[in-house]
Amino acid sequence: MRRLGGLALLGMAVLGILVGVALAVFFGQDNRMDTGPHRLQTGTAAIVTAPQAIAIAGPRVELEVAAVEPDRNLFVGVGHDVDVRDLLGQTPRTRIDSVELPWRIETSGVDGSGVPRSAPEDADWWIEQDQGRGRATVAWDLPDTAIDVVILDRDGREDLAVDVTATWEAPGAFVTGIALAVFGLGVGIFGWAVITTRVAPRGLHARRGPEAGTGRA
Amino acid sequence: MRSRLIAGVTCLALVSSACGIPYRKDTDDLTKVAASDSQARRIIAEFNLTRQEADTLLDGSLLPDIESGSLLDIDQGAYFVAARVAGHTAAARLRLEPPDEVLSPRFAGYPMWFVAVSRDAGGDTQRVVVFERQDSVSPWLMTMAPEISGDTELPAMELDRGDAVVTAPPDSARGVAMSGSEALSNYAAALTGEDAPENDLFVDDDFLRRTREFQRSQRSLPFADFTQSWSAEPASLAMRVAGGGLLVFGTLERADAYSVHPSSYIDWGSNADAKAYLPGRALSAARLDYRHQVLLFVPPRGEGEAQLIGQYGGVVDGSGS
Repeated sequence: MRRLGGLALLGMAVLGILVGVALAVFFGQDNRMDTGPHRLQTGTAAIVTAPQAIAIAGPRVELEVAAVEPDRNLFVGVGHDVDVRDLLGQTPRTRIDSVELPWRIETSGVDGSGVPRSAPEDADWWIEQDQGRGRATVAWDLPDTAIDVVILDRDGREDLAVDVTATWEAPGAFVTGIALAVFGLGVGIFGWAVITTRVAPRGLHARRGPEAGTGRA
Repeated sequence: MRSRLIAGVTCLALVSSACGIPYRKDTDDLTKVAASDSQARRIIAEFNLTRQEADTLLDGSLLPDIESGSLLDIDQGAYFVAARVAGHTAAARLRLEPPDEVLSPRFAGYPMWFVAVSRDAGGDTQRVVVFERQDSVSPWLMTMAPEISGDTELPAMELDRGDAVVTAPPDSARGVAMSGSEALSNYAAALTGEDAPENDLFVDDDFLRRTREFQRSQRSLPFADFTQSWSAEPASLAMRVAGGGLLVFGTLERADAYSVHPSSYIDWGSNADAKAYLPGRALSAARLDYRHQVLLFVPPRGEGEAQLIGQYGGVVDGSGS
């Protein structure tokens, strides 16, 4: 029984160390895990994710978008799919249908002959938005609702090409990872001690006490 | 062992909170709740700012920035009367407290609307206001504002899995005695007179009683024939009540027509609406058009009569000769 308890502790310890080290290594001291830059191109002036493309919620992410032609007037926004669809209407665009990390995307063209209902920055429902000459960055918590990411050339110039870097921000991930690994190490040492010495978890003592006493008598 | 378990759970919780553990979400649900409580609060605060300026100046040209539909007609009419007839300024004013309740449905696209129940800061009544947005870049405009007494509570609404209010198609009579559209047209018919059979469909309310009283007084005028007609605009907004029933918003159109007898005239006396829209005497005919916004409760089928919950209306036009 003591050996079983010790092995369980060792198992927990290995798991804790692995998860902790993975957290610390992947996120690093800046608590960020990123992928990119990745090139996105369209024959239109707009690139938009489909709501199915962002199928996860929870983490805080940052999207850094840099135009290949630095004089492009870029707009990057994150909004609810209902709002984005209405804003863009019949605007021709390239839709990102799926995203698989570290980076594999599927796209399709959406034909149309319109323009957005208004300048995108005039809408009041963006979860996050940014605009700039040749570069724009947004950071937001992925919500539990259908969202689209919109990358637009605000001047409507076609053949937009951008380099995108996506980052998962996790404040405290590095420290938490180290702490988890150290905690796992401690549990591991204790587990090893349970197996190799007479040290036993309190639960095991309580169950084995009377048997041990009987044996000695 | 238990303390170790707690430590483990705590550790996992720390990791989760630190990293924002990702989880799969339902990507098939492409609907949006029209407005959160905080958004509704902000929209009403913005409404108050413009409305206060308009109220101060009695400037109806400011109202299209914040109101639409029959509510805009009614409030512009109220300004028109207040600017021309002394003592009617207060009736045209409205300032809403932050909402006590926000009822927000979910939509797959625009237009969208939501309902808020707010106290009128200038009185002891509440307004059940509806804000509508036609598209993603248009402003939220108030389109309905029936008044209810200060102590009236709306019935609890049926909510979906995400706590959004469940709407009903205006022509759907599923589970209720009549659809929203039918309720409005029946109530309009009941208002035409106490002999109308539709009176049996509704609880006798103060608005019905006051309307009949007014009809009787005007029909007894010795110098003019009076007719009053009512009709309902198509219902557009209906919400399902928890346990069955509907809350229906709608607008009723009312026309008061006077045909003056030969050699007679009408002097409008204390009728402020007529004094504003029909200055001077009416020598042959006069007509005043009103809009009344109503909030009706339609009970589940077989559970009694429908009932007026609230009403707000006023004169919107007039002509005479």
